Amino acid sequence: MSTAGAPLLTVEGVTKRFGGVVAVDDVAFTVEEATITGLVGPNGSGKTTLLGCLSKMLRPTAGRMLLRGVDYTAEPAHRLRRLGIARTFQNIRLLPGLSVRENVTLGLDADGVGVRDWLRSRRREADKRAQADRLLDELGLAEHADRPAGALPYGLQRRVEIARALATEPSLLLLDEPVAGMNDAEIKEIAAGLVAMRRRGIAMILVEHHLDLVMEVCDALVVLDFGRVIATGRPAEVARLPVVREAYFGSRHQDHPPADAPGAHGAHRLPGREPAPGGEPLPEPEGGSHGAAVG
Amino acid sequence: MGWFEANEALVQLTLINMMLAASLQVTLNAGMLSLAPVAAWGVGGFIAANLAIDTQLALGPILLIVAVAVAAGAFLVALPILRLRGLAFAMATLAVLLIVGSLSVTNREWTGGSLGLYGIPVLTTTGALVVGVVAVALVLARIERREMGRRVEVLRLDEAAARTLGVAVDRIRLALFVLAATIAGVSGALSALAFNNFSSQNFGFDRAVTTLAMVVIGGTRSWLGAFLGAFLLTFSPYWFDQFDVWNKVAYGAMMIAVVGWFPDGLLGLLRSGIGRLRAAIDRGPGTGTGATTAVAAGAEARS
Amino acid sequence: MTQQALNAVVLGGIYTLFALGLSLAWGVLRILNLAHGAIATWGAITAWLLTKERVLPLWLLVVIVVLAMGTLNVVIDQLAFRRLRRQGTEQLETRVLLASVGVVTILLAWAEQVTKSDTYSLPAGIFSSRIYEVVGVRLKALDIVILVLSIGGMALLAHWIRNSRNGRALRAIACDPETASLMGINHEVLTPVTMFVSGGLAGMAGLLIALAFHVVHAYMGDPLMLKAIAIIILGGIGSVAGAVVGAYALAFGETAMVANDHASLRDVVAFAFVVLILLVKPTGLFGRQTVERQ
Repeated sequence: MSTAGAPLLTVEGVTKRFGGVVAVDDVAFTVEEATITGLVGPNGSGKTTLLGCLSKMLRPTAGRMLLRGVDYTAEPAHRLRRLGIARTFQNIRLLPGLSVRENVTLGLDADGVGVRDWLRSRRREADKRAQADRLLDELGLAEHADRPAGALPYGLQRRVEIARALATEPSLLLLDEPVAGMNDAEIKEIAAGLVAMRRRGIAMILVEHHLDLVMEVCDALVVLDFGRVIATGRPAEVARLPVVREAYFGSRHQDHPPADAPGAHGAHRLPGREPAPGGEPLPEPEGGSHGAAVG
Repeated sequence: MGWFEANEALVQLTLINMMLAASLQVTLNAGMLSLAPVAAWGVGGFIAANLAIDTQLALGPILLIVAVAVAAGAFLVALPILRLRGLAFAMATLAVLLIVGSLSVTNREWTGGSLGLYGIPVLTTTGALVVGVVAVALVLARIERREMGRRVEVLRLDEAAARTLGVAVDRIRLALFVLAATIAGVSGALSALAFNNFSSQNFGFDRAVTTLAMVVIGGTRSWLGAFLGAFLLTFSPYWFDQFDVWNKVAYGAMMIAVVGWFPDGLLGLLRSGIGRLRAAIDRGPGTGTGATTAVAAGAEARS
Repeated sequence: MTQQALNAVVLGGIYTLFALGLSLAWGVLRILNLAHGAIATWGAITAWLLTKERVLPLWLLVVIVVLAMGTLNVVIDQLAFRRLRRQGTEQLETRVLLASVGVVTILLAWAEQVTKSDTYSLPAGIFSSRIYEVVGVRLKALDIVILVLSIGGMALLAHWIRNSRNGRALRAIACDPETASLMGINHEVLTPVTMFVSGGLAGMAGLLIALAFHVVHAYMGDPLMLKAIAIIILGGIGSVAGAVVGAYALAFGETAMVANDHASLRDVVAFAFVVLILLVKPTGLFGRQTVERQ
């Protein structure tokens, strides 16, 4: 199926309009296997909308998206799992009433509705349980397996969501602000987790406002502003570019309404965590310690 | 012996209502409030009645024809309607019910107009109804368990998340919609062939409301709840000696109470009661699985 | 022909009043109150009960019915729906709908009890039975009363939505519920007010139906309810203009069917309309495209 030598993900000219608003404008970049790509940019620059397009939650108005050289732009969202794309959400979307294990098992459920799948489900159920437990163990969630997901503290719920996405065995994982609202210790754990996943060969796209984390774990950055890519490259290089610095604290953002999808930025983020207009400068690339959140 | 003979019609009606209630439950549990099965019930009834009157077919072939015809019809209706969500979807299914109702009053040759058809050969036996109910229970129990159950759950609670997890949302919605119509159609056919007459009065808005009450009061989360509700609401006039106003008021109040206070219905109450009982027993002789049972009970009790 | 048109205008006025109340609660509060029809029934029954022994002037009846049904609707909301809103938004619309089915059951059982499932009519003494001839059209005094009341009701509602503080809040919520609640719009006040207006409109529609068709019975609200749903789907949920246009379209369509000897197909046409709209433009003729939130 896959074309030899093609990058894991190729994004070509992806555009998304909502009525007259262009939220994502002719975006193009590539993601290599087993790398972490940070998708950054000021509020309303179209990051979440782009993630929505990549995961086919939204239908791009124009452009193509290819996974290992195979165009998946026209595939329905539920087929992406089979192709190897998984995502997490900015506002955690677990089923609060089901147990942690059941939530993770959801990621293991095949997408077939065939009668044969269905009749064999009993035998597979035991395998799935074991597989889910293994994943929970890896992510340090074993002791919570039987608790309802809704009863877990926020940081753990995020981890369960990541576990659920990992259960689908993705080659590309889209993470929408995975450390939003977390404390420093939790962020450290997540960072270690991301690096471990990369080691296992999973590529990730990380939408994140927490720049320390981005600078530390990412292999490449894609910087969006007003829906356009204004810079791509290695984090250290990108952070020095004047155009990026201006986008982050140039005055023109002050009274510009967000062009992002409405409600794209949920309430879960701590207010001080984002690089607000006129906020702090980008951290020096080398100096990105886990500890301090920006702001 | 005497009791059954005196009340066979009531028993049959209960079994028919169980199937119809289950058909509403199977879609409601997947987040689709659909009244279309009630329409399918009527269509199935009229097809069966006409077949029984005009041909010499036995019960089995008639039910098969009804099932195929109703499933095909439901498939066609589903194509436009399943694009809708929430209340718009519910209203569209209501429109389907009303159109079918109106057409069946207008089309006298097939339906006997507003009076309905009389003198339909009685082919339905209580045994056939029991077989039908058991078959429905087996299919629905299968759907509720394991992976299919989890898919339906995530589909109801969060369609977007369901899609990212690879749940074929559209296909499952379509399959459940058609399945519900088929179950209801067969139930309607059995009803038409059980009581000698069948009319559009049998499946109006009123019937939709009553059936919905059965599902909600019994518990929307499981076929067992639908069965429980259908049984209670069909039998209660018998227990309470005549169907008086207070009976209806009691249904209404129960429905409001269940929706607001016990969202899992009577079945949910029963289950959490059993869960607590088990937990209490487990706690007695020391160790045991008290913790898990408590979680199970907690999960039952959740909103 | 003109006579038919006049009948359609009168009918359309009643439909509008009724559908507006339902659309308001549905579009703004996300309450699809299936008991709306039963409220209309109770509006008619209240008028019938009040005029059983004595003759009351029509204006007084209207005032009493509107106040009583508005209050009844508020009570229903507080007892049956408020708790659901507090429990969060998960499947709120469906759960409110189910609770309202419970409310219908109670109100109808009670109506059956009071009317003994019989049909009555309001006494002729409460309105003038004069008939005016205007350019060849027979105009009953009652028709004029219904027209004045329905147009007056619509005008009042439009004025309220446009100019009052609650009306503004209503529009804000219909546009964007999240922002509206951030702006400090108080649902605990607005919801009862809206439900009161909605119930009052239903009661008035019920009273007018009882006057126009000389019937009071327990199930008179059912067909009205179904028509209103058709009207709202036609016009777009929550849209005042849509409700008015939908109501008149339905009234003229129905009158035309009856005039052309297809009376039995009347309801089928209404709902075929609806299915067509849902196929072509699910948001209704005047509905806004809602942006899906992630």
